[in-house]
Amino acid sequence: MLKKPLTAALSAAMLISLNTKTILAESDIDLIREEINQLKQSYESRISDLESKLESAIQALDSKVQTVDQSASASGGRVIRDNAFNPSVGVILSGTYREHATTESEIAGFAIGEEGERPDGGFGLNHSEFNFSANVDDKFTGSTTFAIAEHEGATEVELEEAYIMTLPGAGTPDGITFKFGRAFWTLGYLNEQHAHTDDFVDRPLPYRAFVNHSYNDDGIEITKLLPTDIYSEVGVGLFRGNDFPFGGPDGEGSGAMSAFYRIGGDLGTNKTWRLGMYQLNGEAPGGRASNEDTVTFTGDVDMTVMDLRYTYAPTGNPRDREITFTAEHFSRDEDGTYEDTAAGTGTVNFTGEQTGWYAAGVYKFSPKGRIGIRYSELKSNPVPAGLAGSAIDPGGFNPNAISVMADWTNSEFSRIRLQVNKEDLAANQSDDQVLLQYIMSFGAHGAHKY
Amino acid sequence: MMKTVLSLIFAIVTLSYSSAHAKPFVFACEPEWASLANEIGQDLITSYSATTGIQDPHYIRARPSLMSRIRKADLLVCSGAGLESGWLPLLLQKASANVQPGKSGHLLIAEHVALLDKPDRVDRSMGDVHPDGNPHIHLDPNNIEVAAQLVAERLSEIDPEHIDHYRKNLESFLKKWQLSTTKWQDLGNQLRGKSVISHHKSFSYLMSFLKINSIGFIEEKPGISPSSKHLAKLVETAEKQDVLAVIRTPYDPTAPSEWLSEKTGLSTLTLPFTVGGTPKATNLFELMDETLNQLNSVLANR
Repeated sequence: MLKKPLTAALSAAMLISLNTKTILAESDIDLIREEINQLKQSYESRISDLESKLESAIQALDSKVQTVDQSASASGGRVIRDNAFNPSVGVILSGTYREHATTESEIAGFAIGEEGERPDGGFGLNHSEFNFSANVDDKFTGSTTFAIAEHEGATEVELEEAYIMTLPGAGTPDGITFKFGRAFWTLGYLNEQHAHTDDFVDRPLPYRAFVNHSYNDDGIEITKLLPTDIYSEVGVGLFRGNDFPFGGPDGEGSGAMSAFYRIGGDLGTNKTWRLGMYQLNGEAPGGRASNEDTVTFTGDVDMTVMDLRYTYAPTGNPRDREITFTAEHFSRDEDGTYEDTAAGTGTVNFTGEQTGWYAAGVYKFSPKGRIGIRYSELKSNPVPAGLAGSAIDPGGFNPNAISVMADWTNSEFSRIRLQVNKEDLAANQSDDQVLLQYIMSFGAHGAHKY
Repeated sequence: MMKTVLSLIFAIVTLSYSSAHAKPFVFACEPEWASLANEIGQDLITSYSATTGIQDPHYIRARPSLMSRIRKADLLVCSGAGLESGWLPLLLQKASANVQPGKSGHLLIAEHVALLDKPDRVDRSMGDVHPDGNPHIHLDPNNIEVAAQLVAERLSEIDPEHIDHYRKNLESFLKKWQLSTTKWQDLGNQLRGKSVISHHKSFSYLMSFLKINSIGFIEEKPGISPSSKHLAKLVETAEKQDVLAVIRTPYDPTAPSEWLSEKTGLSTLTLPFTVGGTPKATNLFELMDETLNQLNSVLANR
């Protein structure tokens, strides 16, 4: 574009200078002509050089504008890190095949909720989940999770979680977080976790007996991470009291409260520990139905949980090789009345303590392979004479179960697991089980808790 | 019951005593950024790195100790581009308001440099790809230059009292760094156009700086262990083409690259990858020196 007018002007100028020198000899004219040609060539090359420089400068400017655009969009307002979509959508597909040795699955001495019962044998879609989460604005974040559950042959969609939580900078005092809604509340180690992150197909006995798989009441929790060098966190919660081990809330105020304290740290660069103490107290004024609505408890429930988690990754890389150890202890005091309509007990006064614990160890021997073993046990005291022979009469038996699992993890997003259980949950009721499970996820996949 | 809970809530809220500390505390996700912060902040700051030189920053756990550390952070410096997405979001929920996204205390270097290996299409069948591009940006000295300026900028915003010190430290760092960059370019001249096989796409920026070709990866897909079929194909590639070495980071599994070396006679190199990756790589300068020394010595011994 620039080249043509410039060269034209140049040759015109040269021609004029030629005309003024008509007296020169032919040889001189040749010489001059050659010089002109050389000049012309050098100008042309310089011009094209300039043009290409200009072009690259424009390109550089363009790319700069682009990067400025990108950084502006990256730091402005709402930032979604794990997905370009808002909200982040994640799907967990999980299914199980179970084979049981016996049709009986009572847990001696315990009133068991629907989720705590042994699932049906055969194929089932336990805990396939749909999760939507996003930062609401600069002060709040929200998350909701629906799960598919099978109950007596019917497929149901359950609301597992639906909560909002304050973000740091929401104006709350330093280190304090508020969480409102329905959530897997802070209680022991497993309760906060979604089932797809569990190391075993099923929850250990204390979770099945004391919280009906998990405690996800409606309520509020306030936690504070203390400004200490060692990790140390305290929290309190208020709940509706509508979820196991509570039930039948009176509809006024709150029916349950909790408090917890957690402490943890590292030992060197490859070992980590965490210890927690939790208290959950509440009531079941309108009655808590269990055992397929045949057993009803009415009264006060106080529960104390302790947990220990220890992880050891030899090279500091938990993805390659790691040993994890988890143990929890539950104890529950109930003060009220029990009625077992199946056993025809009528309403009987009941005061008693029941305990349970489990310990689980998992060894990841390669990035893809893990093996694990778990033992869990429950214990209850003798019941009053009026409840003899009912579902909550342990008959001197301590239910226990041992599980061994092996799983194969193809990637962060897919896992297949084989587990064998030996459950002795009531006298003369020994159940050997084989469980096969797949867990796959797609879409946004949130970070996992320690 | 209500009363006890309310008094407990009150107790927790009033427990929030001020945690004012004299020096800005820099929480770095990776050792290279802690090292860089120390270059700029010198003794005016304290710093902590969430990972060590022998830890894979993709896959650490959101450990309790990291929560108590990030809670005190005044400046967060991380690679970004999804590298820390498995643990940083959880930590941020417990961090202070000053280091939340969008605040001056939240610095992701990858948002400020041009990223390589940006996939045209993102599908998890391709493995654990980073949709934003390759996050291992620190081995291109030009990116460190950009990062140094950003760190100095942010430290000055957080601690304006020492703005002159930060500026001075930045200037002397950049002067030394630019001189060293020229040196590394000279040292890398003989490597130009050579080819390597690497374990993961950890060295893309180093390769682009040194103009070395990456002709294969031991990981068939990012984050997924190689299949024997893929390894056999790599052996074929190595036999057909002139490969300088098989390179890996200190945290990559050694077995596949050793197997490849045995089959092909190629030498394997554990490059430091980051500060602290090998005993000699004590800071960013030593990291680059050591990396170039290792690559050059393989070339010399051929």
